[in-house]
Amino acid sequence: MERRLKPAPTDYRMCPLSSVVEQRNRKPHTSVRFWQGALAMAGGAVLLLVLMITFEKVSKIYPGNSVALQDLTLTIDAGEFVSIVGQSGVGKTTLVKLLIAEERASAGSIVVGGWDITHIRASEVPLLRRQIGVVFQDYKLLPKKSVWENVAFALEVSGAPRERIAAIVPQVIKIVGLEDKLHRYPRQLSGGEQQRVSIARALVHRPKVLVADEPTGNLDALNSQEIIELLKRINAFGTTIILVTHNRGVVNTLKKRVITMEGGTIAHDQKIGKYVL
Amino acid sequence: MTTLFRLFKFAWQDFWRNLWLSLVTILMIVLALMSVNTLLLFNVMTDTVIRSVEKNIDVLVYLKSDTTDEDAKKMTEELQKHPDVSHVRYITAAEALQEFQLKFKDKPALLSSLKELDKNPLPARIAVQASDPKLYGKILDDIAKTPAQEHIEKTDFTNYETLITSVNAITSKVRRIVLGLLILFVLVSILIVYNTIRVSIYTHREEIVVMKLVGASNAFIRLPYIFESVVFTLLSVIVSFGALYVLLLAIEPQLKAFFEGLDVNLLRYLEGHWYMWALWQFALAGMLNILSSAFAVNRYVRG
Ligand SMILES: Nc1ncnc2c1ncn2[C@@H]1O[C@H](COP(=O)(O)OP(=O)(O)O)[C@@H](O)[C@H]1O
Ligand SMILES: [Mg+2]
Repeated sequence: MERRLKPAPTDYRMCPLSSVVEQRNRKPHTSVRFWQGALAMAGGAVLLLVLMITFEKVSKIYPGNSVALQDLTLTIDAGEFVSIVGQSGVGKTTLVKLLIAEERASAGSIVVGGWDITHIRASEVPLLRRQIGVVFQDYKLLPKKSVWENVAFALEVSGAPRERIAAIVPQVIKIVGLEDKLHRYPRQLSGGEQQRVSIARALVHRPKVLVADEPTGNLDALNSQEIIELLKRINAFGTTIILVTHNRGVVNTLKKRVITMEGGTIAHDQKIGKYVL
Repeated sequence: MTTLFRLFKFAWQDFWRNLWLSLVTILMIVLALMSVNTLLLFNVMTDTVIRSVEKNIDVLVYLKSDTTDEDAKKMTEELQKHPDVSHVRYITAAEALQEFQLKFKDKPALLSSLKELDKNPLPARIAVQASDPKLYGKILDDIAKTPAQEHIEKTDFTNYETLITSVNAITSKVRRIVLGLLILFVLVSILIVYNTIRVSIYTHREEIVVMKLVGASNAFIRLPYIFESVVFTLLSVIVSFGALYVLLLAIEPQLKAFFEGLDVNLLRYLEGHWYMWALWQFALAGMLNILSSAFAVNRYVRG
């Protein structure tokens, strides 16, 4: 049976200005914040064109002297579709965690769209998370919430007004093609559908970047292919996609940039890459 | 406004969707409160029993038969002025006889032998109550130093001395035991309630992780649990006092029989004091619950 993915409405990223800048300027309390804000605002126009992600000589050593990343330097341009591959334990997930500030770097610096998040404060993490959507192998859906509720939840907990929720949720659910399963619960969905719900949820804040850590890890070939197609379409809207994957077939057919990691750093970085392991 | 409403909604939804866990948490808090309350009531009970026993103690100062009514009244007034004396009652010889006859009305043999005497054998007396049973010795010593001493035939303090010391000993021992038990109960309750809340938050770790992931602010993550704690506490306090009241109502006849003759009425006491207790317990248990849940949530919010 074929599940068609309908063409998405073109306006899902309606907000024209970088909301990185907008949201961060809401509370310029200290002078540091003020200058950060001013700089970010000045960079705002440029940002639109180059929402760049930069890792500069980043290392991450977990407690217990476990070295996950070592001297990793990496630049990802706005709108890119980057695959990150590598054997288990080379630090791919750690890279993702640093990017969404779930972990802090031990050394080096990380800048997202002109915002240095290396030492980001706990109170600012929510703002970052609304700029970077994340998707994981295990979907992380709430089992007691329906498709609609799971997606709406992301907006509710960030204080979005009701009208905005009512407008955005149907849009993103339509993008992932689940508009006729709004009231199902996760256990009533296939793995592929659950992953699509989690992608819809990641899109509600209209993120500039979508990070997917092994999103097809639990899926069969057909479902995997559908998820990748979906990511490609989201990328076509201009959203940067960072795809961490083990899936050789996926990487080889994508014909996009591939970064291969080894021992906590980058081994290869090819513009149109192949899975070389 | 939307935010506040939404926080309430989350707390509410959470309560119902995890009804069993909510009920178990409430049950644990109720049991903790009940055990503390039972002990507090026990304390009230021993207190009133002891006080009522103390109230029944008095020392009789028997007056010589040649003491005039006037002298006796003067003496009574003097005694009333003594700082350690709470109550003084002058009983004339005639009144003493009346009381005697009333007391032994089922013992006609005794009464008829009394009638055979041509004059009242009972002396007039003054009943003295001290503000504290420990002070009887001192009061009697003080009386002995006054000129009134010449009117005193004898005092029967010696009969009471042992009773008074044993009441004193029991009082302080009971108080100490109750206090120890209370501390133990409170500590055990705190541990049980804290762990129950921890388990309940543990089942929410997924939700907390997801909330963090999608950019929920810290307040949004924590406040529903704080609301929930307040609601849990409120319900628990209501249920525990309701249960206590029903329990007391059920065993009231037995209690009444047990405390026959003493001025002990737990039910009345509870009716008069429950709101103060409830308020205190709501405040303290609420604080404990909020702290427990904040502490438990913290584990998943950090990291
Ligand atoms: N929380 C942690 N504490 C200690 N070591 C960790 C932790 N997370 C990951 N590591 C270690 O860091 C290395 C990289 O892990 P990870 O980034 O998960 O790799 P990958 O996603 O590529 O499989 C591994 O050696 C792993 O054991
Ligand atoms: Mg990984």
